[in-house]
Amino acid sequence: MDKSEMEIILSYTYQLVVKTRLKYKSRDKKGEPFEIESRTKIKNLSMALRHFENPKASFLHFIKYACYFLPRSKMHKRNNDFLGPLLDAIQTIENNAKEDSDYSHEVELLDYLIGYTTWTLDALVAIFNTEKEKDVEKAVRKMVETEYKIIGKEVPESIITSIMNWYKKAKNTKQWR
Amino acid sequence: MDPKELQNLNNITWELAFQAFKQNPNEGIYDVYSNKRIRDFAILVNKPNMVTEAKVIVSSYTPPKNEMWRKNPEFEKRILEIMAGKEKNRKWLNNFFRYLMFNISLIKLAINENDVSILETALKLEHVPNEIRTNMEKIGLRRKLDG
Repeated sequence: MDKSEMEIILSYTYQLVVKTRLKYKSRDKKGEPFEIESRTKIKNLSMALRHFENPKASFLHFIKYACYFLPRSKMHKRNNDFLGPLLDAIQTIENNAKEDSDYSHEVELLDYLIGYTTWTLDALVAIFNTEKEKDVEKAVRKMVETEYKIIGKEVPESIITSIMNWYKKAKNTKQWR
Repeated sequence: MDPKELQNLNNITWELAFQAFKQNPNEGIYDVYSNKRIRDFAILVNKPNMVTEAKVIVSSYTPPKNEMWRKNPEFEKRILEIMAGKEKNRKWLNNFFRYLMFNISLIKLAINENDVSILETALKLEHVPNEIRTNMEKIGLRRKLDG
């Protein structure tokens, strides 16, 4: 994966992360109040990439699998869901494919996208559950800046804003009793 | 399965999926073959007398209230033809039924949510030929969603 591809994957990772359902219950003594709903549905997307031996066939199967299963998940929201940016990501990856590509590289990029999305979700939930509220943004910023430093880019401020909005919305919504 | 064969299979399933819908403009709804009915065919794929059993379920079928079966008997005839033609390739048939049900679900989603964007994007990403994509308009999807 070259740096431009890493930038694409990182950008879409954060677009996808904030489309998942972050749930918050009031902090109790033992529990971790933040959790991602339907996380397994995202993790299982990787299986679709291995359905066929031929990578181009698997690429098609991934699209179909995502379009069928994601609208069935609790993540799905009309006009604001996970599937939209995922399809945009697939389109971008395919548009950048070489003409004679056998799609093995494109499948690999999708695999990274799903993997990074899952890991980022875990990392952010760990931050939300362990940091004091006043320190959350600093911790988030540090994590994202470290990632963007590797590819030699400045962090788009919109990423930090979208993560913090996602966090605050969950915190302010009483979803569990 | 090689990608060309899979693409061809996918195109066939999209063509059929659109045929599973009939607009009822008077009532503002769509009649549609349920995936439950299509599953009745799909579960036969692993049986040795697949084609014979498929003919039995077609001939003994009592249509539901929406009478989609009566409005579009060609749909099930086409399914039977495909099953007979691919009798020796059960792997192909398993993927065929899987994708047919996926596609019908995606069209239903577009109708229920009054939003064709995911359907259109999926058709484009899957490289479905334009002559099959235009079935969206033939079943009244765009008109319904514009109104």
